Amino acid sequence: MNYNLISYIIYIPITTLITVVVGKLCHANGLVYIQSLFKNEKIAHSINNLLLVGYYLVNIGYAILMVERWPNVTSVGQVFNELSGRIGLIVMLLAFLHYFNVAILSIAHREKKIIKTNT
Amino acid sequence: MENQMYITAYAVYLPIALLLTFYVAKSLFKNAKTFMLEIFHGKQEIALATNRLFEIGFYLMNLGFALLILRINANQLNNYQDLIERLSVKLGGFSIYLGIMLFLNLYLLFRGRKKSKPTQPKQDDLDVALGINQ
Repeated sequence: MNYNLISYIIYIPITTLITVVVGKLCHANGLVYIQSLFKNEKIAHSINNLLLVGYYLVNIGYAILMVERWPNVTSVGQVFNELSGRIGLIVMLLAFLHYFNVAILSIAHREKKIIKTNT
Repeated sequence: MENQMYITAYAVYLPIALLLTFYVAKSLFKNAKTFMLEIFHGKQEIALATNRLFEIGFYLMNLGFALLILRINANQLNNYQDLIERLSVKLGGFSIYLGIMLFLNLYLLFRGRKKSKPTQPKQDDLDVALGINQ
């Protein structure tokens, strides 16, 4: 068992877990926003579920894809360096995506209001 | 030893890729049914038929792609580290591809919904078709 294998075994569960937890939170709290955009209750639920599945696929896929570009690690210190760098990168990416989503939601919300007041 | 290694890789890759495709298709087309009913103004037959056709296309395309990228060069697999690294590329790439296909389908559904808006039926018809008040 070399150090690379150990770091993969630590890295994959942690990133998957973080992605799933963040996804669940956004899924639970995002429903209200989607319901305010779409009148039809069933459509809102459908969109919410599909967005969750797509989010899982893309994010966990990217996290796993990053294993390929892992440099050769030869000591415990390097394992920690690599792990912290990569997990940090994934968490930062999730944060950016999250703020991006919030921005889109607020823009959509505002536009809908404008349309409503105009008609 | 090398031979066994790439057979192991296939044995891990194939079930995961196929199950992932089935799971995504199932959840996508379960939810797409609602969209289809709204797009076709609650005409159940044509909505379900279209949904089924989209589903078949989705399966064909993604299972085909999954099998197409199956090949792993046996010379590149010397130990378990190589195995995990090759599998990560294949599965991660396939997962992202599936995600993009899912969002593409979602985009098509939204577009269909927008195009069919002008002649929307009364909300009551829609509710009956969707089984809300039953």
